[in-house]
Amino acid sequence: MESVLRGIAIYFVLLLVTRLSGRRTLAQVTPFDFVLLLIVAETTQQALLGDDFSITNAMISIVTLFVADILLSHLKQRSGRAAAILDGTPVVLISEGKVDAEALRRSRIGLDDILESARQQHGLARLDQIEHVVLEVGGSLSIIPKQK
Amino acid sequence: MPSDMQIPPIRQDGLQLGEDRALQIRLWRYQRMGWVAFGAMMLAALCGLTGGGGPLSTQRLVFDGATVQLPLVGRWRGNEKIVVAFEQDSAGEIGFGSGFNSVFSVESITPEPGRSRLDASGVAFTFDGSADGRRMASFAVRPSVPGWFSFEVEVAGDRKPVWTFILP
Repeated sequence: MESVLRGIAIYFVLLLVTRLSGRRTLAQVTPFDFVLLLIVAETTQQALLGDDFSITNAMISIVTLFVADILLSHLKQRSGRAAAILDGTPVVLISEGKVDAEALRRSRIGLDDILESARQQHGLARLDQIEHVVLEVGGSLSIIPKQK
Repeated sequence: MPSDMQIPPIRQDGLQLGEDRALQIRLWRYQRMGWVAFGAMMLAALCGLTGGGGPLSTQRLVFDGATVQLPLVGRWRGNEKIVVAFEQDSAGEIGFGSGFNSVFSVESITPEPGRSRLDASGVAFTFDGSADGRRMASFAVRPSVPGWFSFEVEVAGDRKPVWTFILP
């Protein structure tokens, strides 16, 4: 019983903390973010397993995490509202060439990040060559260039 | 196509996506509140309100003959310590009420008590005096259940109730 309760508690704590920490773009991920990820994984492992390092405990913990994820994915599929709350919605950062400064500030994304993505994705040199920019649910920036 | 599948609307700027800016603004607000909660949690932890050390994680009981320091906030299966400082003329005996054993398991006692007694009212330990008459005893204990518990501590016939909160 304890393994299941631990698994569910850890799943929802991680979900809440990840969600509240905000959606920075994947382009902004630094090597230190990977180090943080490893530290979080190590800390979580101890809380998840406690003093019980048996295969049974590990198996039940893994199954619990997957079941929680499957149930939430079903919930998100059935309810658009739940999906929007759990994953967020895409955020339009630039629309028809106009920059939404408020959305940029709230999303903690700078124009430098957008220009970097524009250069990488489409080889664009300037901001005025960009028609739309969307911060996707997954954290990536989608750049749509202006039609030539 | 399933009937419950929603097709994102096409916006005036030509983008076809389901952006809900009102909801997103609310989520951003909750996010900021979450950051404040994270900060509050860190401050609480620094103060000791989440156990694991800190000025508010322990409590002191002063008896005629001894001072006892024991956890106020502890962590389930964590390592906690109960420290007893006996005065010179004290009999060197400390007792814990019957609730103590249901909350804590005693891992070790330093130094070893000269005598110990277990009965319906709880458990008691007696420590022999050192050469200089000062006696300190340290109990390494491990909370075995999470929750809010009370038990009594007794020194020289003086019983005092204690509350301790064990976090999961």
